[in-house]
Amino acid sequence: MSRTPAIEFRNVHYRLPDGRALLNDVTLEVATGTTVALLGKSGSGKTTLLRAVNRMHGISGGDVLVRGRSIFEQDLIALRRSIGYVIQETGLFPHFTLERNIGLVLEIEGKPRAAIHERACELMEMVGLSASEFARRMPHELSGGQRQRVGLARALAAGQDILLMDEPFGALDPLTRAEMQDVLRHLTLQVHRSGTRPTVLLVTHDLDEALYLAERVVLVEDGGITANLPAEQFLSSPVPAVQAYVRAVHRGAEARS
Amino acid sequence: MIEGSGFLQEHWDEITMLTLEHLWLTGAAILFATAISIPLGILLARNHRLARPVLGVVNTLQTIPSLAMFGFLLPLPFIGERAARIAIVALVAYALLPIVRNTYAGISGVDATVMDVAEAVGMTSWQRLRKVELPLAMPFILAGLRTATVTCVGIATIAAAVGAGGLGEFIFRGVASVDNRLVLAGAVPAALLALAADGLLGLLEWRLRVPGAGQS
Repeated sequence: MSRTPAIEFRNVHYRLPDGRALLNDVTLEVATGTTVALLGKSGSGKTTLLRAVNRMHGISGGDVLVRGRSIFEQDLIALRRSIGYVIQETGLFPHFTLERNIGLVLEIEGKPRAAIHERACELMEMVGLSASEFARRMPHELSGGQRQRVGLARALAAGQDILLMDEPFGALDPLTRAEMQDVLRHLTLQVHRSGTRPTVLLVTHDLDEALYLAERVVLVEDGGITANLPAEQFLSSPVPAVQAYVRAVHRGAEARS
Repeated sequence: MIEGSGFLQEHWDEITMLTLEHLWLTGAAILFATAISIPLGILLARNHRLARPVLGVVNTLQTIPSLAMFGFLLPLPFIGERAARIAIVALVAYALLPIVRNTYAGISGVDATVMDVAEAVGMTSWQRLRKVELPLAMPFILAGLRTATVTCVGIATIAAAVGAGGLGEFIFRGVASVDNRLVLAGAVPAALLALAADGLLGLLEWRLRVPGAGQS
């Protein structure tokens, strides 16, 4: 496996002007076609790390490589268009129809209207929304789960092979969340247009979600990485930080057993 | 009644002419004011630190009594040479504030998450402005335009004091000759113009509002 990782963090630092470190010497590889979950509590730096990839957040030291090249040597606009971005609040454009929301990246790339329409409809069906019923609807007419489906479709519409997902299902109820996790899993397992599976960097504080969706689970604490394990080894890891996290999550079941 | 309709008949051509003149003065002023204010409002939304001083200056313009404003402009080169120029420049000064303020507020108020995504998906700053910020701020901008237009229709009546014409002509003549019919011949069409502008722009504003845009 000498393939270039889709994303590579090399000794990444981010220091606030007051000297506090938000990211502290992070080195991490995200292999092409895999899903890596960044797990950690609020304020651990996992979102900062995620946003460093598409330069939505700056770094003060080290380097980030996307598809083998430093992001600082790449054209910023092209880099961002090539990376899907899904966040908890969805961030759909309230004045665009769903079709236009999904086809947004194609639209700003100047693709022909007919091609955008076709691709948007295809994506809508892929995320389980009937194109004939939903294409002309506006975001405020949707439920939270439906909005997140649209967010997912938008992130993939332009053939992006890297997805950045920041607590994508964090605002959904547990059942809808499970449903959306299946949609995402289905999408990442599907062979992508480029012939590979998309690479997903997923920020979550939900251990179960991380284990369900990711091949590797990375525990982020105080701006640094305390564990980087295959998902199947995570629960049994002897690393104290991992054990603490696992214990904190399973308290309910343990208390009743 | 018969006397009134006779008066109308007699002055009909003049009423039409002065109404058109009034419309032209106001329309030209609003056009210039919009051309200045929208880019200025966008600039302020990009540089929040400039907002307070610039809005302060524009606000001060608003406080100058209109008659005094026309007087100040009278001795100026170029502007003071023609009455219509004085009137238009003065009206522009009054129309700036509502449009600048609302453009600034409308664009600054666009949901931060939406702007974050607009940037993250790779929109250029021009695309963000044209496809996201301006459409979402448009109801606010139109509300400012509406206030500016109604204000200008009213203030334009005073332009007659410097000989710029418009419906104020009737009002000044009516006041001078203590003839209320003349005052009304100026005031009623001016009021109707203001109402019509208010209604039309209000309708447009309502049509362009975005449900669920999260604007406050």
